[in-house]
Amino acid sequence: MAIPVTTALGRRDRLWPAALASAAVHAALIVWALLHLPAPAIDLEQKPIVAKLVRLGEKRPEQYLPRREVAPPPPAPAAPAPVATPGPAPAPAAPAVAVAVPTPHPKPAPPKAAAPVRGTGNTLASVMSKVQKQVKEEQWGSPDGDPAGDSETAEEGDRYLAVVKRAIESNYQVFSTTVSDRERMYLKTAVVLYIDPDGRLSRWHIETPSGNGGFDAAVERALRSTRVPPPPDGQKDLYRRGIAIVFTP
Amino acid sequence: MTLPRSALIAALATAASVASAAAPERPTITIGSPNFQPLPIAVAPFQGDGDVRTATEITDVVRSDLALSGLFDVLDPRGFLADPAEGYAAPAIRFARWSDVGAEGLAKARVRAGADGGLSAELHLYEVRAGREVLAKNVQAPAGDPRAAGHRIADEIVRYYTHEPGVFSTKLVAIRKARGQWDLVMVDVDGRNPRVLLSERTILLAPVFRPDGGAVLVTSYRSGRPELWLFTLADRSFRRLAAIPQAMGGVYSPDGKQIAFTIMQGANSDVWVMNADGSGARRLTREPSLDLSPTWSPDGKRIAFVSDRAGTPQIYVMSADGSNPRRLTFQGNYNQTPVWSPRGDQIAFTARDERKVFDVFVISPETGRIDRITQDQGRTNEEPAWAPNGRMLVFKTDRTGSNALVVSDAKGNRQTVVAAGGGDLSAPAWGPISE
Repeated sequence: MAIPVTTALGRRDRLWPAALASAAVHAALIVWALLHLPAPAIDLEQKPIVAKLVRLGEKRPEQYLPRREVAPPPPAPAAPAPVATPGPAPAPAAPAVAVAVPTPHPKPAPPKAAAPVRGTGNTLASVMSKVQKQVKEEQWGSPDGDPAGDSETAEEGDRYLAVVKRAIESNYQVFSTTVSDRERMYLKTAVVLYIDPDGRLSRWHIETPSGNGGFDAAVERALRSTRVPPPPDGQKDLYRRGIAIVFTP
Repeated sequence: MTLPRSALIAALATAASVASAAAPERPTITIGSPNFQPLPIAVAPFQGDGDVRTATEITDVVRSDLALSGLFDVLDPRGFLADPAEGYAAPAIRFARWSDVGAEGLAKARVRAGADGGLSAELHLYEVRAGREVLAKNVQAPAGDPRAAGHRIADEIVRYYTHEPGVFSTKLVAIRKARGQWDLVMVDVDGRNPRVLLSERTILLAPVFRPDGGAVLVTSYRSGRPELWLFTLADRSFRRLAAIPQAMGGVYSPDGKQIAFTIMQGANSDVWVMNADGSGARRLTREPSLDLSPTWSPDGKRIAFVSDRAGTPQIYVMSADGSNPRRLTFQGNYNQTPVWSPRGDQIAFTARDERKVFDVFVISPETGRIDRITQDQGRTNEEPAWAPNGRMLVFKTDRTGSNALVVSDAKGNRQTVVAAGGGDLSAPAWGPISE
């Protein structure tokens, strides 16, 4: 006896809700997995973004070759200054040299002897001439830069990364007994940091440990102590997925 | 209830679109020491068995080399607080005195005549804070060559800290022009010990070492036109490598089996490649433009070169067979003399900036990012060459008033004039490490 058509149709009708529910569950699982899948391992040799805060100023023409960032000049010497113009926050001369500014701008005449034994070999006169030249340098930046910025350029998205970097750096301290002199030259720890839309550092994991447990612990201490502002609108998803940070001593 | 089939398709399509949108690049930043901080190291006066002068000379060479590298802050010996008669072995060392002057590393050595009549130096390296020895090494050098001993000691210290060989025992060559004469000169990395390898009354240009270090390839006008000639160090012979007129600027492939070079033909020039013995020359570029100054990638698969096919001299990269050329530089309007770092991650080159000053720059062949090495240091810094470990550069400068050579770390933070005087120095090349 043939099966009545109505009976056959009823059977197919009962399958549809189950099929749809199954597809929905599978779709949800796929989406969850992709959002939480680890990204490819961090390449420690990859050139990272250097997070910089661009200063307020005119934009340097793109076709120009880049210039080296130089340390802000120290305050002008006291007595003979005719018009008191407050400069930027003073940077002491010693750290300016320690930043390793290149050997000084030459005067045409005497050859400069190599002075390889100590520091950069700068004389006071050459340092001063360099400082004066820096004061006259045009300070390129961006019309929507930051008055506290110290960089000529910044890539897209750098501003928030620069803020994150500064916040972590302010809590980042590696005790001298933790890392040996030798390890200082090559130690690296790679961390993936997840930032919630409200700025909370919700979680992190050490992607590539350094091999020095004390150093890795110092990195985690810094992250536990850090609070950052919320990511900018339009980038919240990016930071929820995580940023990679390579720590060095 | 019957649900439409289209709802199922819509659910799956939604999952697919979310999946494709859920894989953005993850940005990477560094925290800690974006600018490398040199390690403070004290090099105590080396002790000599009866020959104080030799020991002193070796000490000076070690201090100079470590400072030259940019890796170390070599402490001024005038500030040392430790007893000068303090021994070089651990029990005799008062580490607190060295810590007081800020040293984190301490190098001591004893120098004496070796069993074969040469020099022998017993190096001891200490971590000051831990108060322990971390390296003990015997270094040998030929008799009467204390500078060689100093360079080898410095190489061992660098090797300990960086896990890479030092380059202080390598050599530089350059062209020196003076009194209507062109000399091929060789100097130590610190510019000392100059010696003339070849002296010509006709133009010499663009010397490069053969990868085994046994010869120097140079462009010579001895025949009245530019050709590639080879100077062999062992027997000091100088012979024409290939009878290819107008050939210049030859550079060896990293495996030493091929030579890329330029042929000038009137207003046109092209990049060619040939076997290292001068045979099998074949053309790589065919544009009606100036294509010249090739340099090999360290894997030998690509060649960077200069071309003005876009109107101004720019750096290009192509496959080693001449295919797939692509422009690399888009900043500046006069970029030239590219040299690929042995590390592969940077190409150093000379560029003229908006003030018409020539300076040394580096560019990443992957990202195109340009960083500047020299700035406000004379009007001309040019013709860079990489050290074999890719951590240092040598280039020509006019900052002293005449053309001299500068050795720099790879970021330009530590630059030292190493060779000046006796004529105009140009076109430096850095020799390989001999193990």
